[in-house]
This record gives sequence, structure tokens and C-alpha cells, in this order.
Amino acid sequence: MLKKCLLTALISILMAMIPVLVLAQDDVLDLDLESLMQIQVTSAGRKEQNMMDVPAAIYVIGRDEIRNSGATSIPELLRMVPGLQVTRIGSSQWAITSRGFNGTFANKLLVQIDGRSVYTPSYSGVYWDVQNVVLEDVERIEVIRGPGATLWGANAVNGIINVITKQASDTQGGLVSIGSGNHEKLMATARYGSQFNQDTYGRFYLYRHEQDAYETLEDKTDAYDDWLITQGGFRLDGDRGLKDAWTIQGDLYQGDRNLRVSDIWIAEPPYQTEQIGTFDIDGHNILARWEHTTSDTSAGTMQIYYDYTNREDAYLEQTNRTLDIDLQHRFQYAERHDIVWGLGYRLNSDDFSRTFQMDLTPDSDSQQTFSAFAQDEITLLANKVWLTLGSKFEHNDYSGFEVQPNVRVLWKPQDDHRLWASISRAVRTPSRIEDSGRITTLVIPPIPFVNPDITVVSILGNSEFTSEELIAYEVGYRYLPSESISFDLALFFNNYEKLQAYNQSSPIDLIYFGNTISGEVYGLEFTTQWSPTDWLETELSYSYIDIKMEDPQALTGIDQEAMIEGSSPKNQISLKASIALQENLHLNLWGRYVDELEKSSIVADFPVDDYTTLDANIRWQPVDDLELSLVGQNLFDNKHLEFISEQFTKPTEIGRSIYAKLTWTF
Amino acid sequence: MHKFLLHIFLTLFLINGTVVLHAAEKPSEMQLKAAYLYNFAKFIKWPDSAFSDSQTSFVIGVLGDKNFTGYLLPLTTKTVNERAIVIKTYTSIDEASDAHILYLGPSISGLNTQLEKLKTRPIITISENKKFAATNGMIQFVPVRGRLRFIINLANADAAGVRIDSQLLSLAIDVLGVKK
Repeated sequence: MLKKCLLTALISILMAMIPVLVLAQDDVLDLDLESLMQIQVTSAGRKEQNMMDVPAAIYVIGRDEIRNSGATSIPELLRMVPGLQVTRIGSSQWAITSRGFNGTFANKLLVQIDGRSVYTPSYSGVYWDVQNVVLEDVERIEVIRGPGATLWGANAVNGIINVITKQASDTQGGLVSIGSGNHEKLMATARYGSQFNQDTYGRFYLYRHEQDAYETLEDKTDAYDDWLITQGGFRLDGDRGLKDAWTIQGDLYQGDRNLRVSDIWIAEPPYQTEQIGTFDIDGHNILARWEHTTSDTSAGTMQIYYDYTNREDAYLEQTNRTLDIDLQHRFQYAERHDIVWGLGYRLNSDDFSRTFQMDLTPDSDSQQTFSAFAQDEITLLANKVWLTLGSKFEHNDYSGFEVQPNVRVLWKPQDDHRLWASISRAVRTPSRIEDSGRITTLVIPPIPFVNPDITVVSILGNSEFTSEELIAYEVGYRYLPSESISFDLALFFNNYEKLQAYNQSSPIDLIYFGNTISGEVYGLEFTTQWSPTDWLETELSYSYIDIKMEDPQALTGIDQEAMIEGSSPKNQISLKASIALQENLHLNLWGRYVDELEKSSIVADFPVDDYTTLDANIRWQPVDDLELSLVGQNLFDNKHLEFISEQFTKPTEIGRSIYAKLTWTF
Repeated sequence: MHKFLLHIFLTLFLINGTVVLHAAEKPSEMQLKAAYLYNFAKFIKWPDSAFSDSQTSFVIGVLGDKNFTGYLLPLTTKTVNERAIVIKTYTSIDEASDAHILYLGPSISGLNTQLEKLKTRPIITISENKKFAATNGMIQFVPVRGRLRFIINLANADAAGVRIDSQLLSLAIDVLGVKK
């Protein structure tokens, strides 16, 4: 009821904002000053940062890539990034990671939307079904593979994804889009942006997404994983003079997911059962940011946000509330030093339900994180060699004090060549569940005359559980021989210690979370972009990864090392082509090859076969403000398996999707 | 919920469909600047000494940006305070003493020193050069969020004897040289 009221309120505001700008080219001289100040001269707010000079493995998904992809969500877009492993478990569930360690609860990837971390703090990982943005309002998605812990903090171990939405001043006017297809039951967006006064811009949006269910691999029955989500939100951007800029934004969502959970343990016979149900997901967040420029070489940012998420599952209901405050200051010192430093504070409080399958003790708790970082980019040789030194210092309630330093070198031998190398340390801090959870893994029925009760075998949280550690060595090379062709290569070697394992002192003792797995991962990622003519753009990406893990204390019979090694495809290839058939007619083709997964699940004893997919779409603009698109995803095969969830979800095949979409801007 | 959403979308379609007239092709930055210059003139009062008699034309001058002159020509059909508008292109700042508004292009060397010469003359100087308003200039165009905005240096305008209306000052993104 509350949500309905809020949505209604949003609508009323939308209705109150009557469009102000009406103009034609001839009469621009007749406009008054207020109107002149609304006219947008350059389309992009901020130019894309020069990727060439970033001493890290970076890939940017820009506006055009989003438009040409036919993707309906952030996870689908991420499939184009070399070095990421993006797999779909079911309609609403994804397993996404960077440089290995994939899983439903992949926990080494930090994801931020407009500076707000969406990494679930108490449970490790990102719930992709609630990370929705209006894709038309996205400025770019920056993906950094490898550690980014110095600037971004803990859990940016194997990569960072930054989703950056456009400023409200870049989304003025209206946009309505509606799409539907066999799997995409409904995609509807309404967005309206307006200028409130000469210094304040705003936009509001409503978003609805409904997806149909897939089928299970085993018996081709309904996987019962259809779901829907409704979301609304706003963003306000303003200036106070030339030195101060501010942003306030927020979102509110509610969704229902159908899930066929199998299997889950219960206290009564048959002890292990399948459960089908509808589960609620809801949340809201609000963020405020203030940027102050003191001079050409010095600027500061202050950001504060509050994020509330509530998620129901068959085996757990969890609520997380996060308050985060961040300060950052960048300045130049003595010409050679570009220094950035910052302070951060985060408070998280959680609530968990108790089920036979799973519980946490205590049910409700809160954790605090304090952090500070400093980084200096030093020009060693003008326009030739740069050295970046930095470290993050953090204190959390589980593992205490953490230091995460890095050193990076960028060398520019010639204008069109760049070489970079780095060594960094990053940690993945313990999650609430590793500290104080309990997960049922087996129920032994009563044995007549011996044991009249059931015996419950669990994996237990461990207050001694400490951070997972990574030392990463990376090198990269970029070559930009001309405007129309580019090459980007990254090589990495990662050395992990203290990775999460299920430990047991002896086969009859308790099983608990420990830090006994260690291992090495190496790989390479390569991307080349080539635009031979002005109507054709192509991109080829290849990534290779090899993972070796060992656990000297493995006693539990659960082969975790094999799961880590087997859950990432060794080879991945992506080939995209964007063809402008006419000025208003575009054809996009996108093929991908994903190698076999030897083992991604405790429950399944068979691999996920390799597969090749083809996506294709046609975009047609009959008139300037109207676009019709027809999109086909996974056209080669009827359906295929991409990932088998560690537990709780039956292997589900991802089907072909065809949808049509209409977008109207005004 | 379904019905409710449908209702929302329909409402949105209806409101916006009826109210919005569509914007034609966007004007260029040059056209926009020309329109700004014309609009500034409406909010500025020049001293009588700036005009020799009631027949004297209103002069908009351009120095260091020949291409811009073409965009100003449509203004010659309009008037400022019942005075006909004349567009002039100068090759040196010494010629510019008859201008009422002087637009200075990006490629003028030693602009700041050159402006010293015009300091007390009733000429509104406009440019988008960096630090223009922070030094000897009066109105500086600045790009803000993809739009063209402006800063005013009030002290420089006062020194030249031109009066800028408070309405124009309130639209400036920043006003410099305000007496405390």
C-alpha cells in the first residue's frame, strides 16, 4: 500500500512538470535568456576518460554499445566484457565474476551504481535481479578487472563494475518504451526529465520488467522461475556557482520471484524436499553527493547514502540497512604529484529469519567499517613514465585492520603505445554468514534402536574466519595505430591465500568455515576494435583463464577446489559487428563462444557443455523520436545450460528470446 | 498492479502528447551565442555618452573570430532601444572604440593587456576565454552541464560606466567583483 502511494506521488510530480522548452532553429534569436540557458549544446556531459592512460585492465561499455547490444539488463551487457565470466542460472539468477571464482554467491567482485555499493554486505555477493537501471539513462559502465582495493576498498578483489547513470541535465524530456517477447513478457519504462530552475535539473522514472520461466534440464518441466519487478526513482543535479555541484538520487523497488527450490532440508520426513513458492524482493535507497572545486588542481567530493534491501528466499529472509559516508580530495602537489585521498565510514545492520535450512546467530546485528586511503600518481618522466603508489587502510569488525597497497607503472614509449604493470594486494573480508551462520548440509533420519532422533549435519560460521588474501601481478599493453583500430591486452597472475573452505577436524566432527584453500590463477584478456568503414564497427574479444587450487585439510567430501577450478570457462570469445545499413536502420550481430564448465555445483556430477550463441537485432528509426527494434538472443540453439547453481536451484536451461521494443522520445 | 501501471503509462502518454510541441533541429553553439548577445543588450544600460545622438546605431563588434560575424547578421533586422543594430568586424582592439558590445574570439594574444585600453570605455566585453571575467573582461561564457552559461564581472562593468540589470545578474551562474 505504501509503495502504491509513493508511486502515485511520483506520478503526480511527473504530471506537475509541464514541459518548458519549445523552440525551432529560426527563432532562436527570439528566445529569452531562460530558454537559451536550457539548450543543450554538447550532448555528452562528461567525455569518456582516456582509457588509454589507465594503468589497469579497463573496459568501458558506452551509450552506443548499450544501444546496439539488445541487452535488457546489466548482466546481459556484461557478457561483452573480456575477463568477466557471466552466466545465467535461471530467469532471475545470475552467476557473475571477474577472473574466476564464479558462483551464485560470487564474492570477489565489487559492483557500484552511481557510487553506491550493491555488494550484499552480510551475505557476500551481488543479487543481480534487484540491480536495475533504465538502460537508456546509463552514461557508461566501467569495468576494471583485477584488484581495485586501494581506491574502492575491500571486496574489490578480482574486479569492480561501476554503473554510471547520466546527469539529469542529459536526460531532459520524455522517454517511453515498451517491449515484449517470448521470454521478455513485459519491459516498460517511462522517464521524464525537466529543468526546475536555471541551476537545477531533475528526472523521474518508472520501470517494470517481467520475465517468463525457463525449463529444467532434467525433465524439461517448468523451472518455475518467472519473476517481475517494478521500480521508480529520481535524480536531481544542480549547481551553486561554478565551484559547487550536487546530486540527490533515489530508487524504490518491489518484485516477486517464483522459485523452485531444490532441494532444501526439513525436519520431517522426507527430510529433503523441493519447495515452490513466490518470494518478495524489495528495497530503496537515497544518495546525496556534493562536489566542490577549490581550484583547477584541487577538488573534493562528499557522498552519503542509505540503502535498504529485503529479500525472501525459501531458506532465509534477510534485511540489510547500510549507511555509508565518503570523503575524497584530489589535488596536485609540486606539479609532479597528483594526489587523491579519502575517508570512509560504513554502518550495516541486518536481520535474518531462522529456518531449519539456515540461520545466523544473533538474528540481528550490526557492523562498522572505517577506512582511509591515499594514492599518489607521480610523473617520473614528463609525458613518458608515471608511477602510482597507494594504499587503503580499513578496519572491520570481523578481521580487524586490513592494508591493501598497490604500485602501478605506466610507460608511454610512443604516442600510440602504452605499457603498464602493477602489483597489488587485496582482501575479501569475512561475511556475516562465515562469521556466525549455520547451513544444514545433511539430515540423517532416525535409526531404529540406535538413535531415535534425526541428526543434522551443518556447516558452521566461525568467528576465527579471516579475510581471503590476494597478491596480483598484472601487465598490459595498448596499441592505437589509428582512430579506427585499437588493441588491448592484459595478462595476470593471481596468488590467493586463506580462501574459504569447509573445514573439519575429523570426519565425525563439526564442519565449519575455514581459510585453508590456496591457489594460483593466471590468464589473459585481449580486445581489438576495428571500424573499417564508417558504416561498420567490429569488436573481437578473447579471454583465457587457468585456475589451480589446493586444500591440504579437505576432509568433508565436498570438493571445493574442483568447484573453483571448474566453474570458469577456460576460453571465451566474443565477436560483435554493428552495421549501419542506412542512417536510420542498424543491424547488430553478436556471437559468443563459452567453454565447458567442468564442475560448478556440489549437487551435479556432470559438466556444463560449451556453447556458441548468436544475438542479432535490427533498430529502425522511421522518424527521429521513434525507434522500433526487433531483438533475438541465443538464436543458434533452442536452449542450453550456462551454469549449475551450487545448491538450491535445479539445473535450468536458458532459452531463446525474441522480443520487439518501441521507444518514443519527446 | 497491472492495471495501475497501465493507468500510469496512459496518463503519461496523454499529458505529454498534448502539451509538448516538438523541438526542431538544435541551434548551433554560434547561433546560441548570437542570441545571447542580443538578449544581454536588453538588460544593459549604456551611458548617454556611448551614443553621439539619437540616430546612432547600436554596434556589436567582433574581434578575433571572423566566422562568428555571419551568425550575428540576422540581428541587423532587429533593434536595441529603438536603435538599429550594426555588426562590425575588427582587426585590432584599437578600432573597437565605437562598439557597444564587443565579442572577443579565442585567438587573441595578450588579451588581458589589450583590454586595459578599453577599461573605462562603455563597452560590454564578452568572450569565452578562460579567466576572462576573472581579469579585465565583463561577461564570460562557460559551458555547464552541456549548456552555455555566463559569468559577469560587475566591477569591470561599473568601471566602464555601463549598468547591468539585476535580472541579468540573477541569471549569471557566478557574479564576480561585487562590493561587499
